[in-house]
Amino acid sequence: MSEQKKIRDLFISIAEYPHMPYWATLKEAIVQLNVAYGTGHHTVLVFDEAYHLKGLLHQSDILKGARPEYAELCPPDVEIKWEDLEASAAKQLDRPIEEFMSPFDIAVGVEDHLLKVVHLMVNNNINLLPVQESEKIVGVLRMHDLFHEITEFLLK
Amino acid sequence: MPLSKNIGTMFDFFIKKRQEKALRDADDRELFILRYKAFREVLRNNNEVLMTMADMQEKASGAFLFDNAYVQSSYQAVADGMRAIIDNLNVLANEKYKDLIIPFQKNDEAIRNHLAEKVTIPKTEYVLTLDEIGKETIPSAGGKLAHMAELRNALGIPVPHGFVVTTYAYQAFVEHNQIQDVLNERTAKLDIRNYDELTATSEEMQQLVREGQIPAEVERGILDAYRAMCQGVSAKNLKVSVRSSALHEDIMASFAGQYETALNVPDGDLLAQYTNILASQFTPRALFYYKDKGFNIEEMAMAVGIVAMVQARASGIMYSRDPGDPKEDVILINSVWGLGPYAVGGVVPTDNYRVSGDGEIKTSREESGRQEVMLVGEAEGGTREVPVPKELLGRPCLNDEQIAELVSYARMVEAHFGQPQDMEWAMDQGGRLYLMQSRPLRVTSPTLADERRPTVVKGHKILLDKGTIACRGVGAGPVYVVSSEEDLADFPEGGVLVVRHTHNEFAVVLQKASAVVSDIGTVLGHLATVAREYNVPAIFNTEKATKVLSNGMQVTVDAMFANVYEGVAEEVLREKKTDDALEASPILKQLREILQMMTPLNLTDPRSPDFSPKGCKTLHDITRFAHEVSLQAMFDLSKESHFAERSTKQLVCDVPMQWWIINLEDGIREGVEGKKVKCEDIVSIPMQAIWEGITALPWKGPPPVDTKGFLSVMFGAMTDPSIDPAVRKRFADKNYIVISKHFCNLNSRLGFHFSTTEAYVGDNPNENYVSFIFKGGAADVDRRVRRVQFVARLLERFDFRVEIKDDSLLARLTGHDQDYLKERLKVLGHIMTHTRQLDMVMYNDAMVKYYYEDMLKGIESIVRISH
Repeated sequence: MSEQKKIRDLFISIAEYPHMPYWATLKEAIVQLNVAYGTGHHTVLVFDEAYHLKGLLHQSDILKGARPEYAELCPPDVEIKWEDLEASAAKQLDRPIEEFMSPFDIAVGVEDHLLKVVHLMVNNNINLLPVQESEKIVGVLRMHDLFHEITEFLLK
Repeated sequence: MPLSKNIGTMFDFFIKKRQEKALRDADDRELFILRYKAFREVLRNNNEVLMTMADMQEKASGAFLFDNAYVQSSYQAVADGMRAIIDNLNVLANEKYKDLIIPFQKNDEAIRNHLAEKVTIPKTEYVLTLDEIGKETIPSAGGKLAHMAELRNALGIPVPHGFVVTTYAYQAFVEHNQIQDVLNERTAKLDIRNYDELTATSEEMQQLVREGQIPAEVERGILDAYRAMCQGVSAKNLKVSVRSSALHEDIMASFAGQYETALNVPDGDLLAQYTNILASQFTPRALFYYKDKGFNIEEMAMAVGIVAMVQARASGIMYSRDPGDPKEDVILINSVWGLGPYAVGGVVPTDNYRVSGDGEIKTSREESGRQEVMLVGEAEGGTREVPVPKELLGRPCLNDEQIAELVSYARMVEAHFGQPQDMEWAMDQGGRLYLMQSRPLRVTSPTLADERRPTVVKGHKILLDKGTIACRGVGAGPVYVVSSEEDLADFPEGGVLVVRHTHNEFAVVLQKASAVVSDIGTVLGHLATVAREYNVPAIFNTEKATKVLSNGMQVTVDAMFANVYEGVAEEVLREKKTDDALEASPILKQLREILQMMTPLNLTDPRSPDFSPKGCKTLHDITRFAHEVSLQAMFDLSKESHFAERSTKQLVCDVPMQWWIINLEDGIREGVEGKKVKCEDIVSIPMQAIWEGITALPWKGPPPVDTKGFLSVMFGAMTDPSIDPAVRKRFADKNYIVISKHFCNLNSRLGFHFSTTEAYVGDNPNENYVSFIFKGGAADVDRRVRRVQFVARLLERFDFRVEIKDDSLLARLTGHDQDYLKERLKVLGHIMTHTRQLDMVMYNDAMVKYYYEDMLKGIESIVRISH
């Protein structure tokens, strides 16, 4: 077991991960995620001016913020149009991302055991966890990478 | 180390310590103002020195007239300016550049030695024939006869027979009669503003010369040459004209008509007329002229021409150009019956011809009345006025062929001397035409940096038709656009250098360039100076050269009229300067020689190790160095100064940041009292412009917290060892703005990045500049570097020169007019506030591109910049 990886070996450094100040607009965040499309990074970390993590902006948060609201989902007499999306998003695109982001309440330390992360992710139904080292956010750990590591161990 | 040196170093150390302490003391304001004023003096004097040097270079092109006094006083102005630059720089920079005086003194001494060199009179025969002289023998033959010989020897134009009694003969005369000391003393003491004294001294001096005895060898020389001349034309007792030919005569137009000419002199009067002409150097007006222009008495050396008299049937004056409109291809001729003196001075009505070129000669004769009397030579010598014979009354003096012949002479002479000419002609009784003399024609001076109405050559597509001429001339070659220093390496021989900006660094290729064209640029800048140095035709401020011209295009640059043509416009290139009449003038030579010690620029790159006082070889190098380091020193001064609470006022404004104003002199409206100042009471031009940029678009995000609040927010950051200590230190600083009416130094700290903007924006473009430093950030290094590159790209888009080192950036613009810089300051105001924490988003180059375009859109909505 001694050669098993730790969080320190597995997490993605903040330098490589998309992040933005909390007053960046929804539009900027969308641009950011589109730019990062090929990397498998699907979330924007949201920081304050002192570089403290304030929240996480997931793809789902963005879609939730931009989508059109229907009184009742897909009633037979209401036609769903692309224009609806345009209309709803237009109001949101220039709003700051802090209004859309998910709060951040759990983080793991660089020295924590990977199984602790499994536990946290599964129990809280999350795919991405901030990683901190001496009180400072240094990166994120993705379910994707964790899954790979854990299952490789199982198959061996 | 010798003891004394040791003590010196220690002493310097203590002085320095003390001064540093003084700077840290409670109130730096007084010291700051003192140094700021010194800084202003550096800029002002730098500008004046460059202006004077530009003017001297312009004169050295040979197309202008000037005298010794001009050279002396111009150099004095430069030297005074240089001293002021060096002294003030050392006040500003706390004696850091004392060594700069060394290269200055070296050059100054060399130049002054050069200027003090006396005109030496070459040792020659006392008498020289026309065959033996030409424009290179002006110091011996004087200007008038040297030119006359040049017409015959170099161009084959008929001139009368003759010879010259040399300046060396004059020297022999003065020595023989031992009158030099008296002449020196009388001239030195003379107050030319006192008319009575002037006439009395003049009379005394002239008498001294007239009564002088011609040395026997000189006398023999004159008489032998006279006899030889008579034999040469198989005539006995040939009458002659005896003409002054002083050293500077007919080289400088202002000399015209200073001295005497005796017409129709019989052999018996020859020697007396010789001394008469020598004496005419001391007529009241000649003395006045000499003293007024500051010539040395040693330069009053008179050669005298003895020229066979043309018993003229008609004579006149001919100009190779219309002095009022020198661009027009037109030749002016006037004529009178009889001898030449009646052609000038309105004694009688003259016939006037205006012959225009373009292949076809159009002659217009305008008669200003009928000439009733004329001047003729008497058989026994001298001249007499007689009635114009009946058969000539009212008839034109010249027929079409004769006019055509004179016109062809005029063209040849102008082409040969390379500048417009003022000639005297005569026609003998047989109808044969002669030129008697030729000298530069004073035309309406083309002035430096004159915006001209385009004069367009047909048959070629005109690509650019406006701009400011920085160096007059014409040139053609393939376009080579240089946008950064890297492009310089491949600059082709004979290429036309096309640049957006006239950056100093581009000077290195000028030697190879056939012309320079820029979008923007100052004619007093370093690049312009170097262009004139190498005589590379240059048009600046065309606004769109880099847009219109592309690499490899063949173009013709007409820096006479500020036009650029497609292809090779031979018609334009023909205008190329050939030779100039002043070529041989000692004064022009002298000017060119001292300019060699003044204008070449060796210090082009501030990053080079040679960029030091030691590396300064010319005066231009010194100004370049001083200008560069003065900007740095001023910048550092603002940065290092600590202002006492009582000398600052807090700015009351809508911008959610706290700023403290230090008013140097006139940056705040008069009468504002108290500890606070409102935005509308700020009258500092650069600050207003920056402020406009800061406030034009709304803030994004929350207001930045004030220093105190920020410190608590930043507590983690403050102690975070991964953050640059310099950055940490800045958190403790307040945001200061140091202002005067035309100056502003603004420090802003926004989040983890800080910037300093400094500008001087006055009425004189050459003194103006903007500097901008941007540094810091809290994101990882890659993101910070990307942000700095992003800011650099934006600034370059707005013409700034940008240097990047790691995550810090220095941008600068120098030498532009107020409106131009105000718009750029708005750009800076916008950038300094809207890049806040933008390092965070600089994820990769695609993000950089997105923000670049986004911010450019924002900036373009608030500034007026034509691209």
